[in-house]
Amino acid sequence: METLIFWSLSGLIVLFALLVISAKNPVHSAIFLVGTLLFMAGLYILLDAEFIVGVQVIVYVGGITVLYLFVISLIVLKRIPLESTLNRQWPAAVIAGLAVMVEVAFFLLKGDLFFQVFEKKKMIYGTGETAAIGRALYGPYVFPFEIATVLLLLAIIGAVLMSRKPERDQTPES
Amino acid sequence: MESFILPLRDLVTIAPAIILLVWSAAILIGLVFVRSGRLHRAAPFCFALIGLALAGVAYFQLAGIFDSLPHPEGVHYTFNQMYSLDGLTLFFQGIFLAAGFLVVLISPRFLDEENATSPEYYALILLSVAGMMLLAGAADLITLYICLEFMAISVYILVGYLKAQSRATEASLKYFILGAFSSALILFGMSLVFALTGTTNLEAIHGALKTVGDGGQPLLVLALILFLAGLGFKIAAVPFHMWCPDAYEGAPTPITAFISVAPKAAGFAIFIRLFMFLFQPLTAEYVSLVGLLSIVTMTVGNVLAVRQTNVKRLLAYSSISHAGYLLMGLMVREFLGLQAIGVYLVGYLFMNLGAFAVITFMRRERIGGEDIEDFSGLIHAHPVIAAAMAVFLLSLAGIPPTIGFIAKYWVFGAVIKAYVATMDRLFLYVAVAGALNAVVALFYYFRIVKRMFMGDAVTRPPLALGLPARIALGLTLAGTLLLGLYPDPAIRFAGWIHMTFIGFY
Repeated sequence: METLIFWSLSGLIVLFALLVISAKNPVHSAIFLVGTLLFMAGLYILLDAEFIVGVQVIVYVGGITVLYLFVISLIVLKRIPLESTLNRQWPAAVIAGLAVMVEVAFFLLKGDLFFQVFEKKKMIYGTGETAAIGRALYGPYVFPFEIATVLLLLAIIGAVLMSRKPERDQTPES
Repeated sequence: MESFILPLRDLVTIAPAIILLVWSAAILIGLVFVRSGRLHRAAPFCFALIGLALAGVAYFQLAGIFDSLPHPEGVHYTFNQMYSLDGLTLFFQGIFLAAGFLVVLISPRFLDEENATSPEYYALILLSVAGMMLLAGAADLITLYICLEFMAISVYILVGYLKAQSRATEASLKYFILGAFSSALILFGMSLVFALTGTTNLEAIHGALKTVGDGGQPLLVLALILFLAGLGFKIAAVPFHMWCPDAYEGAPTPITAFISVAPKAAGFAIFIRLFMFLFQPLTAEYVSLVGLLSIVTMTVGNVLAVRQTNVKRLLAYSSISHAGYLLMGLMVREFLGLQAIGVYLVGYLFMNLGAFAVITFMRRERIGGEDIEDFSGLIHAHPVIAAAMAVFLLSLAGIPPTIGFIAKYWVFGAVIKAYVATMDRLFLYVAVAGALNAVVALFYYFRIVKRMFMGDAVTRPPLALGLPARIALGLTLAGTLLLGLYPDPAIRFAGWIHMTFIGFY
């Protein structure tokens, strides 16, 4: 059963990924990307990684792709000529893609010979991955967690500062 | 089930940073109530000074306690081993606080000239100093990364603060994109180290790496290269220096002064901590890579500086070459090398901030004050400022009796001693390259001195320095000259860096 789900999800991911790069309309590409990311979330469910599933859906599907769509709709679409997806870069892209594929396959099969990785430890924060992450965040990692909150505040200040219109007396017309 | 641990007792150890955060929040909240008028300009400056002064008091308390400890050596963990208040931390925190203080002092005149509002400016300076102070004490890869971003983001914003100027926006964007890229490289290196050892605590990693055999070697070398590239961006070492002149030129001049000293020192703080703890098994690779980086950095920085006519750009390239000299000290991972870095950073703090302070003062009315021609005949109109600038430039060139000479002396001493001890030719080559570069550097520093003393006097609107600017000039001048004559305090202070690593080899 699990293998069946795995192979069907993988097939769908590859199919949608192909659709992302072959669609001529960028809006369609973005929507196919949503599909790819959702099916990847399905793979994470198979791995019992429920926290990553949540993050995948909220951040990638909910945040990043929606941002893509916003950007696409902000630049007026009609001005962009619907470009052919096979432009001059494609031979280089194919070579690079193949190289990455060979690399990944090689290290998946033979990686043990080259890299020595530490042995996995058992989770020490109780059962359930999300709960474990929460416990770790508010337990031993509370210090960096608190600094991260100040970091977010800083990012907000910066965004406000950069996007604010200059005050009238600040830019004297010369 | 363990209880949630919020170690309130440990907060004392980060008291200076907390004080800075509180006062920067006070500045931002005050912004809501006072929107215009004199108070709008003056209050943030005063708040920033008070915040830095109080943080300084807290810092001296901690440093005093540290100094009187019977066993100050080693790491002193707080916050569940996420943070450590040790010699390395305290040394660098002192540098950051001093840099923040001096930069705040030279800022108000510049902001008035540029007609820019100031509340966020001072709040961001306090925030970035706080971020760097936490960064210096990060004892865990996660804390280290978050503090690194903390520091970097506040600096990106400060560089683009005068966003009405297109070159400021360009500088900020360039710095941001390359900075984000370098952070990604560092993060990748961290993930490799985690894959090897299964822990993020630096000391635990150091212990775990002892048992990693040859199987782990390739992964560790890869991590070393990634860390070198990522941190190379942060300290503007040569193949990774492209952002540096543009960011320095486009930033408001006080911020240029700030980023040329404080984030660079912060880069060295994590450089030392990471490379001492993580890469002890790779001594040969480490020495050759850092040595090569050092030679290339100082040579390229110096050669490119020769042709510059914009003084800010010139000092940007000069600061690249100084990073090369600092890397020389980093090659030697022992007491002398670490102490040399410390002495160099103390000197660099005073002389570089002083030189940039003078450039900041040169900005007036319609004069940019950045072109080398603007310095022509300065001695006739403002002898004191011209003389001070000459002292800073002589110190940057490494001429006695200034702290710049002591700094170079210590760095060369460390490298030569390492050569005698190991007979590794690379140390000798690096020392020779450093000596040759010092000659090149003399040429372009003296070009400015010559313009100031022998150039034609041009009538320009006079400089009017306020009291804060005078204090800043006096402090940097005193630091450069007095520490040059009596370097003992700087040398002793620099010795603190090594305290962290005593009994550790």
